[in-house]
Amino acid sequence: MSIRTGLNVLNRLNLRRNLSQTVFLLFFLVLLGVILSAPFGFLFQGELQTGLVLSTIWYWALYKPNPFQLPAIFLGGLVIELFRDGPPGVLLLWMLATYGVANFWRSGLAQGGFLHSLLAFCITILGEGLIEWSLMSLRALTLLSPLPLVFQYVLTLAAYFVLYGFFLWGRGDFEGPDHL
Amino acid sequence: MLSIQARQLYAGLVLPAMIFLAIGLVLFGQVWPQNVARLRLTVVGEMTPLYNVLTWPQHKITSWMLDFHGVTDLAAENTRLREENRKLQHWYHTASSLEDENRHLKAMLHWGVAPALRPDLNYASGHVVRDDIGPYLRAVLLDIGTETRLRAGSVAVDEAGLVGRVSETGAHIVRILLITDAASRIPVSMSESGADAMMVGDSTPLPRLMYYQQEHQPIEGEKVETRGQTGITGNVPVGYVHYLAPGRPVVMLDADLAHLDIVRIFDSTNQLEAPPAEGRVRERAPLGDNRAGSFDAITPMSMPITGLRGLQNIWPFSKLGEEKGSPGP
Repeated sequence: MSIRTGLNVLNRLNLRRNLSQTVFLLFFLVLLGVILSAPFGFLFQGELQTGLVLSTIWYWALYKPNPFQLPAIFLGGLVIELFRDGPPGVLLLWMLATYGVANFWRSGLAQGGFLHSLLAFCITILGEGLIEWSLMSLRALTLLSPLPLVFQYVLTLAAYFVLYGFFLWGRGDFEGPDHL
Repeated sequence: MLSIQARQLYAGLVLPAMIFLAIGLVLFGQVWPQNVARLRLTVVGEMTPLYNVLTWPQHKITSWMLDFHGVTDLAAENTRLREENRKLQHWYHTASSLEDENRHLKAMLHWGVAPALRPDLNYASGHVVRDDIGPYLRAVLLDIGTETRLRAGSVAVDEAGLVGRVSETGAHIVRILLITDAASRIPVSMSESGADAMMVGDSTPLPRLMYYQQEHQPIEGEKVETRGQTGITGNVPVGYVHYLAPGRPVVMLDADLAHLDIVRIFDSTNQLEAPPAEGRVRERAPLGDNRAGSFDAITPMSMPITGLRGLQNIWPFSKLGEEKGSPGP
């Protein structure tokens, strides 16, 4: 009886932790979507938004997995799509793809360390840029310059480094009992 | 917490379903991009108050920075204006002194002074308005105004020396035949040797000295002045003697005939003799160059035409002879 009670308490704590992480993730994604669409007049706001969103999804799916993340990612993606330019749905699609890759190979990537995960992230985010470039070229009926794609790619990698340090720094705030 | 079966079902169905929805959204956006754009614009429009709140700190900081820069620039702007004011004061005083100097110099030159007001004046000054320079022509046109009356034959000088003589007068323009013109003949005297000679223009910058006495050869470097006699004002500096070759003295002119600007004309009380107006004389080689012996003196057009001497008693050549033979004004 005491063991069952202890498991129930642990499950409730896990559920609360997962919900809080999911809410934080959703809030963070919406915040990125809203803030980086505000008219600050900064250069490369759109590229930075894409990079930060994909980096967040990758880190969260790889290092903070929980079953409630996927709806939060989908909802957050829909909100972000309302505040950004470019082909509709592409970022949402690749947010889900990033989550799927990270979630599917999570155990192998976690064992490989940071460099393995970074390499996988590099390959994954390449698809988002290619799809966006293809759709924009299709709309313009010409082959557009790939330089903006390269720039966004590099910026996304740089954002991943920054976010990785930021999330590691705030890791203690979201650790649950399993970490103990 | 979900059971293991539920988790597997969730992982196996939800993610593909969401990806399917996302693909559908991509296709919808490609097929009906206007609808998505309209939706985005509506959302952004509704978010305007929030954007104002978000950008308020940025605008405020930018405004403060501008104010700060304005305050810091105020001192520099004040310094710059003080410096400009000091320069303007300097130039104001400079302009005032130049104006006074100009007025003084014009008074010295009798610039634009009516002869009726100063009957003792016998010279006037003016600007060169045009150079009448051609292959065989050395003359300038001078504007002396309408209130000054000068006679043909008056000598013209610049700030250094003799320039020429007035050959024609108009309402306010006079023509000055330069001493380098081939028709110019000026009687001159040498200061040291005391020799008299005729300075003859030959369309070169260095008029020649001719008709001097052989026992009074011009000396290299001595000063040359006009010789006072009937028809021309004397003691006007011309230049100095220089020998281009043995037996070939020329006059190095004091006046800068190539850059004439302000020229003064002396209207002597002597009886003046007008020089031949340029363009009305036949070009003749100077006497010293006439090696073939075909010398003909240059005949001034103000003198009676010798070729008409036999026809002077026959009308209408008598009228022509009277016109040509009449003395200058």
